[in-house]
Amino acid sequence: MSAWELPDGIDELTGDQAIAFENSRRKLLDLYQEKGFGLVIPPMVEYVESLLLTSESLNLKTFKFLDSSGGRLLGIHADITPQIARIDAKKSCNSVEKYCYINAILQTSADDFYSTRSPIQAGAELYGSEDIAADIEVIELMLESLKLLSIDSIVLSIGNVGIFNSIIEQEDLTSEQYVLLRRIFQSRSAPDLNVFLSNTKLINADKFEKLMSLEGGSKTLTDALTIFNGNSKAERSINDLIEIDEYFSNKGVEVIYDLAELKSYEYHTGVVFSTYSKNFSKALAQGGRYNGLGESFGKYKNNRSATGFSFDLKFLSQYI
Amino acid sequence: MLTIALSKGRILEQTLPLLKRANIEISEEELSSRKLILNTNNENVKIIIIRATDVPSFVQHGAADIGIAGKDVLMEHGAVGLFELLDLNISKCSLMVAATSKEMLDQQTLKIATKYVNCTKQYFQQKGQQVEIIKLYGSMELAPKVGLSHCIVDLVDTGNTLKANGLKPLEHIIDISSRLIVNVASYRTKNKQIRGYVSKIKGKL
Repeated sequence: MSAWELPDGIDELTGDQAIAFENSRRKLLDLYQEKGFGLVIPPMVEYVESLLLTSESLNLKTFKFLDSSGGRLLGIHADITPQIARIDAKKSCNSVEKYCYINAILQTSADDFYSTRSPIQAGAELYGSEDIAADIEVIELMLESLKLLSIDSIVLSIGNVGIFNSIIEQEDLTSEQYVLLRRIFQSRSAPDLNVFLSNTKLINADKFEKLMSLEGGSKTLTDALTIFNGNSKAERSINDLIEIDEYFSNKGVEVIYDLAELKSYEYHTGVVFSTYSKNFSKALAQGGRYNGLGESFGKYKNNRSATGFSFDLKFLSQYI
Repeated sequence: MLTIALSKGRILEQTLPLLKRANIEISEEELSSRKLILNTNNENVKIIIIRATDVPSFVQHGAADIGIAGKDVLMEHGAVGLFELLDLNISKCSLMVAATSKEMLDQQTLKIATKYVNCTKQYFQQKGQQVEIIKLYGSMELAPKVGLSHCIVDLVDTGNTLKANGLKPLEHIIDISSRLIVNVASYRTKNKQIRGYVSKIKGKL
């Protein structure tokens, strides 16, 4: 091993790239301040209990080590969202709170071939509003962030995890079966879903089958309403998407509805979204609603509503 | 522009009629050439010819929009970051455990020769069986015969190769067939185009 060598998935920015990153960071922070999102700088290290919450995927992504002074397990933050949930819970308020951050994080494995294990995560989160206007506000801010970074030809993909959750909560699945079904949905594998459904008796088998193929334009939403007629939770989730659709119908953004989208971290509960561009082979920014994440910190009896987005600024600043 | 990744051999032969039904055709001249990027009758569709095991990587990383790959290759690769939209029902076979006799599987730590390391590990983990895996790249059937392993995990089609080497297929792991896979970002940014081709291929299956 040479002394100059960096570990796998760890990189650095120098010269023009470093300048481009710093300029973008400043512009983004100005934008977020202007929109009323207050800056937070969470610590790099925390107790794992507050960093991981209930997400097994996040658990696998997090570097951990023992705190020799107290014997407790510490983790290096692999995602900022749980930290914002802790910060918001500590405030113990019921008002709408808006946060933004641009922080280096560390992950045990990169998200994909083009990502590193040391991304610089930029994002914004809005707490305390169940209203669909909050989802629209963060989606708008996400699109504005990408515009500021000169990313064009954007396609916005929107789904709602609430639909999947409304039917899976009626099933009696083992944790292994639940993980497998999530994985099947994440790969949109209709063939694997057929095998799963033939091996596992589900009350909503036909609904799972139909949900997997529910993607496309606005018509997808009316089709979904017909399919989930009588399921009030699913109907509410679809109606949220219809409101979003009405808002974006004249905004000049190409929108695709993908109702089978579940996201990789398990904490999402409602509207989820990702942005793609013709010049990139992966999602550039993504996020969604994750009500109740702060409950782990014991401050709220009721669900504290939250929605937000994030992206890897280090990755995107290389293309500016 | 749409790029489709295929591997030479059985998958290519069996995929060509499916593509033809979706109005994508490759001339004999292109097919018999040594080129790795083939033109089709549609100037907006190119075919790249790569190794079967590389197809998921090309699609996952967006070097190809669509690919045709065996379920065995996808399971071994992990296939994260791509959509697996169709079972094409071609190149069908099974992933199986084979040994000289059933008794050979009755071991405290089972030694297995295979090129499907991840699939094998996962299968025996679910069974609660401790295993030690030796990765081989070919002539798998030889391993139990020369004492390298207790059994093998490999694709079985007719079972003739196993039989010729004194092995019996003992446990069925999973049915294998070729799948149509799509890069997630391509599926968003070229949605209408890809869905059009997929539905034409699906309609004819």
